[in-house]
Amino acid sequence: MSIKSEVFINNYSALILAGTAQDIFTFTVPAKAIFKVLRFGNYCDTPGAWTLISWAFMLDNLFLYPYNAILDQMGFGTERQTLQGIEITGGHTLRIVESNFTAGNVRMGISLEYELSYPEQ
Amino acid sequence: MPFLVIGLGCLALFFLVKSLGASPVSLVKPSLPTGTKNAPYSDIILMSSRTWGVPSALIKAVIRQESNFNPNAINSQAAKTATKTDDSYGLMQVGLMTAQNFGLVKDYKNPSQYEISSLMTPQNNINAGARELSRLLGKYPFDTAVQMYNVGEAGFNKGYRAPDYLNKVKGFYDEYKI
Repeated sequence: MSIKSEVFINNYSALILAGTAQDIFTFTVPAKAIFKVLRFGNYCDTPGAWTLISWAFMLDNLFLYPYNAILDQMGFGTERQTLQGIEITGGHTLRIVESNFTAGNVRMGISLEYELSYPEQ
Repeated sequence: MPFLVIGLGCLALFFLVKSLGASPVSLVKPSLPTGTKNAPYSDIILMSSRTWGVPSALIKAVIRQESNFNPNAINSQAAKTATKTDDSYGLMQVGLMTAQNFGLVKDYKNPSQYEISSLMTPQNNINAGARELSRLLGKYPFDTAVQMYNVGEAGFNKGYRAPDYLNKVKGFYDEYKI
């Protein structure tokens, strides 16, 4: 059995309005594929907002512990940190939700590096 | 003579129980309230507690008061307000606006059935409820935060209070802290 795999890096940011949440990344894994998170970075433009803003990983709309609430800086922008334990099989959907619990708008972003592999039967 | 035999039998039974180390008092001790020691969803509660910095005993106390550990609990205000926006759902009776602030519902005024089902799963519900408790405890004193969890910040500021809510939650909190 051989495996075809490809690594992707996605950078996204969005202005998250005060007291709201927004999906920043949604991906449904193709059938027979395996999606694996390799590294993750997050950032915001308001340093005082840390701990009042969060990045939540959701698998099929369920919070994924312990990445249900990343409250601090894991890696700034392109300086991504290794994130272990998120490996998803075909048909399932991963969401990353940015939440802003501050009283002001905050620009929040992610840098996600993941591997998509297709084991050949 | 039969009374002497019965009396001796009772005495022997008493010493037998005592010798086994079982206190007669413990035999009649009332059972603990639902979930006091082995609360359901303990793993999720613990993880949410650690994530959001809210005591797990407080999360359990709120769940006990809000839904008595029934994940399917729905408090429908729709009959009073003709909208679903004031309804609350699940173990921690999370409202739709709170759910929207957490990314579980896109539009709190028009939630889909899928979004409501998702909100009612223990994992999402406890996470969202604990986050809301954490937010309130970060801004207000304990008593105020707990009452605001029940009637909302705006409701509390308008003077709304649920009778006994605070005392009940504090009572359960004391139980779970032990």
